[in-house]
Amino acid sequence: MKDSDDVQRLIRLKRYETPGEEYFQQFAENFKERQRAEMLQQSSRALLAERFSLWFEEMGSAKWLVPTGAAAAVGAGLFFAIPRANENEVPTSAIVETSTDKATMPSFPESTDENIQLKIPKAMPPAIDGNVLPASARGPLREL
Amino acid sequence: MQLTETSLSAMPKTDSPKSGDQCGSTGDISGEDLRKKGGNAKANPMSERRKMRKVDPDLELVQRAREGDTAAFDELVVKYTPKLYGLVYHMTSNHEDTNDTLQDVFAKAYRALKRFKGKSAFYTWIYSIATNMTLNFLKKRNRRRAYSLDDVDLAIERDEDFIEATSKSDPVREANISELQERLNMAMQQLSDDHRAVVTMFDIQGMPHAEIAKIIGVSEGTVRSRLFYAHRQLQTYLDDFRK
Repeated sequence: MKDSDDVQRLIRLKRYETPGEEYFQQFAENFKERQRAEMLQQSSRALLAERFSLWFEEMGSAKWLVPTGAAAAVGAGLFFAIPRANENEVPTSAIVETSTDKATMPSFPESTDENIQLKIPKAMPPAIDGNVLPASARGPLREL
Repeated sequence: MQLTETSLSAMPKTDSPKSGDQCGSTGDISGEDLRKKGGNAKANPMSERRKMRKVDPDLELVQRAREGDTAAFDELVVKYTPKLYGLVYHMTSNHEDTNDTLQDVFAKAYRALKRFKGKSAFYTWIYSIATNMTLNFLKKRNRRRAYSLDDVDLAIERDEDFIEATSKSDPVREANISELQERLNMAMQQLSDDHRAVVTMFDIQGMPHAEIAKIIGVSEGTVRSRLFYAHRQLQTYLDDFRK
């Protein structure tokens, strides 16, 4: 117990650590200024809110246009922002047209045991310089 | 007798209440007194106790402050700054941090004033706010932050405890004021935040166990346990000064 008493007596000496009376007076002044600044800030926000609510009330029946217009603007924004479902499909212009005639279409052997030989259709689009053009090609390339 | 933590919880409460404590020195009516008066002690013990309970001395200022009287709150600030400064400073050992934290404490107290129900004394309430905010600040603060210590009042040289601590001629024990101050702060900072809080309130500020328990929201037994453990730790850190 004596050891504990000794320690307590030493720790009690810390109460002599003090910043002095001047500090406490200055602290109170600083706090007053801070409080005034906060109250001014709050009052400016409150003033802004009050002015907005007054303006809103003075609009009369037209005041309902504001939320309606805002909702419409949000809806339009969402409409253009969200990608549509068919945007991921391959454009039709990129599809190469081929003959749909079954007689000319290459066919696969019924049995997979046989060697697969591709049958090249007789009707082939004219090759230009060895290049085959797609049917949807337009413009100067088509005229070549 | 070797004190253990279990026996501490069962120790009788011998502390005398001090300022800020609502019950006690001004006279609670016990059940026995009510029976002597012929009244039914069980019928209205609470109402009798309420009548005899000491009125919060800050009640009027608090009421005015709640109604928007900033001058009333300024009076409360002037009244409690020294005590609250001591609490925060001895927990942080840093003057600048104490200044900033204390400003935040009073700002928060002002904003929360309307929620103060008066179930406890204003002093207890604002002390709780200060303790909690300081503990939260310490959790976020870098532990390696340097000390920024206040000057020591020269009145310490007349203090009996100081004289006894520095009177021995042993070179290890000879310590000037600044060295002693540094050693004490280092020892306090070795404690955990919760232990340092109870040591600050009990040993440095002289608050009774009951009041400390109300402020930090634990039982008196817990306060005594924490103090016991903290004192044991401090004995190790301050071993040079006790030989």
